[in-house]
Amino acid sequence: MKNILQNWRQFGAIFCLVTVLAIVKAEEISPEAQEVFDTYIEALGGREILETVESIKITGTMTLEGMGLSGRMVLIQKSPNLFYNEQNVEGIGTTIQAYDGEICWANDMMQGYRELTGKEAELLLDENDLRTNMLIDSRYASAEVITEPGVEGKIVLEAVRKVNKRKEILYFDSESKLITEIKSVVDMGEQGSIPMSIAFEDYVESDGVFMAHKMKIQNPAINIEMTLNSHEVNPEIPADQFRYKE
Amino acid sequence: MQCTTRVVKYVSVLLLLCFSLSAAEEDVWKNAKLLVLNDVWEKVNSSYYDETFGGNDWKAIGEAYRKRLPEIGNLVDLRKLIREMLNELGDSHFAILQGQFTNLSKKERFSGALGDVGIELTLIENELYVFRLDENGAGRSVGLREGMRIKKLGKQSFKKLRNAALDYGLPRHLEAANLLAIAESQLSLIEGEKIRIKAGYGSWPSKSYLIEALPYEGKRSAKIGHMSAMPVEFESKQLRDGIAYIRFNLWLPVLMNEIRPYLTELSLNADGLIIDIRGNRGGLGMMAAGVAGLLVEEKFSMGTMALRSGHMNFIAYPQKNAFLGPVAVLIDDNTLSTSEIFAAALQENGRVRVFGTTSSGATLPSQFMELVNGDVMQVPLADFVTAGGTRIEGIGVLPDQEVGLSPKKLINGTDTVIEAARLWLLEKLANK
Repeated sequence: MKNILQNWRQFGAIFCLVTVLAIVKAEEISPEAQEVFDTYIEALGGREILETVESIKITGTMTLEGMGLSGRMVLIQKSPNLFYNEQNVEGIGTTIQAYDGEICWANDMMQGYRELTGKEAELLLDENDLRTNMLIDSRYASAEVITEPGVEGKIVLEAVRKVNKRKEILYFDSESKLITEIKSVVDMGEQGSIPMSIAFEDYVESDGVFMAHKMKIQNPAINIEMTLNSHEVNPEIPADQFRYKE
Repeated sequence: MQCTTRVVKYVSVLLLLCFSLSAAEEDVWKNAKLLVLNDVWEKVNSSYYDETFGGNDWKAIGEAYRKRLPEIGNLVDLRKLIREMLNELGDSHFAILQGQFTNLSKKERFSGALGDVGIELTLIENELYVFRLDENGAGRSVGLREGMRIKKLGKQSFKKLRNAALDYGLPRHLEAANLLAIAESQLSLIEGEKIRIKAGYGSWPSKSYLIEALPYEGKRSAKIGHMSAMPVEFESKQLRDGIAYIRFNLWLPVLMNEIRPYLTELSLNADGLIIDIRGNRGGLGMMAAGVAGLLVEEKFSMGTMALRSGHMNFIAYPQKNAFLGPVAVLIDDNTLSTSEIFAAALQENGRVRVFGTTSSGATLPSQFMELVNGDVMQVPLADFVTAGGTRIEGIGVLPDQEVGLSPKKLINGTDTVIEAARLWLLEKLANK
């Protein structure tokens, strides 16, 4: 009986060690994945240049496929994660989401002003972290190259985000090394959870930094196509840009 | 390239449908109608919220309706066939709307200025009645009065209208709202256009009233994608004893400009509130959460929109200066969609007491999609259940206090539903 217990303990110890190793392995970026991230960062402009980016201003248009809706958008981001995202859709009005360093807030015609908290705010702050958006390897806790049947000309990575542990599948173009698509299930906390894919096309350079000028966002509720009209790197941002103005 | 192909396909189908009947090529029409039906089938197949199609075999349904295509000779009948196919799923929020290009007569008809007869209709015990009349409207000016029973609208007898509504083959819970929509569409006139209405009091002999539409002077919503600009209405008034009353006909952003300031200042002027959403047929779902936020001091979940995969919640976030006094919500069988989400969620949450008759049971969040022939199809994208897990689709919101309209009292100027709500509010305020 004792032997059995002893063996069981040994087995348990080995099992625990294997499990811990497995966890350690899962929580790291594999060398192959790191290489993919490195070449992507290089293709975006290079780590050195990207590290000098302190702010970005993007303007664009958006169409909501099949619904006949269109609109305009402005996104301003300032390091580390201050942001102001304004979308104006014809007939629906203006929706703003922003973070001023203290308060993450939203304001729209239908729901009015509200302060965002919990997972909803966490998600937005993570999505708008200027540095990790470009220096992508700092965004993930783990990543590994995987094979996806039927996918050609792409390098596919399965990665887990640091902030919310969200699993993402990233597709990189084998030639340009740039991201072409990201798929994930987005957990918006109390707002719900939906699968989403974002396709990136037409990378354009401004001040040494490349950015996708076309994005197609797909989820079961809506398909949105965004086309950037301009992207400025390190523009002057007014001091009160991110604050809520009643 | 893909986009160009789509445009070419679109234009081709459009031309085929417009001119195929006069063309000799029978095959052209055959292919065009198949293309349209397949487009509808595919869109539903890929986007309808329930992958099991409610236990129906969607593939077999498609096959069955494809087999019926040879008997279809024109676009009107094709739309009817497609509607019939969609109705097999038994849900609300399926619709086929004529595209602009194939709808020339309607386009011409609306080239004039929008008219207004100032009449709102209702169904009481399966009969059609005058519900509300504008104070200075065309209907009132010729002698129509609230509570009159309508026998004929233009050339259409009520019986004919009812048959036309039944002909849509809609699920049973949508029949009343559809009948009212068809009846009210007879009153959609251009300025100066006339309509003869045969109406009377109770069993008394009916009289004929000739009504000429006045120019529409009210507000219109902005066009929202495939939803055209629509007349919108917001009415607010102060009843006796510190009770306020509001009514609005659609959940559209333009009305939020009036609802928000009214509700945020209401605490200064009133102790109780009646929100009348009888005849409100819906709009943008998120606005229900917006208005609910103006009535609560704590955040609450109104319910969940369950998509084919994933879900989104309707959360009411409390707004500054929200009105926190007692609230009565009025509904009827012409209360649909977003209105039902609003009433059901606040009722379940205990924030309001609901008066009237059971609502339509048409709560599925939907999307408008353009079809290959330029028509627009409405497809339910999600199911809706309240935070407590109650499904409203097909059932409707059950009032806390069932009270119907009485034609006799309407004639005397009393809306029995408002009256019941008012009495409850008075009692509530007295106890407070």
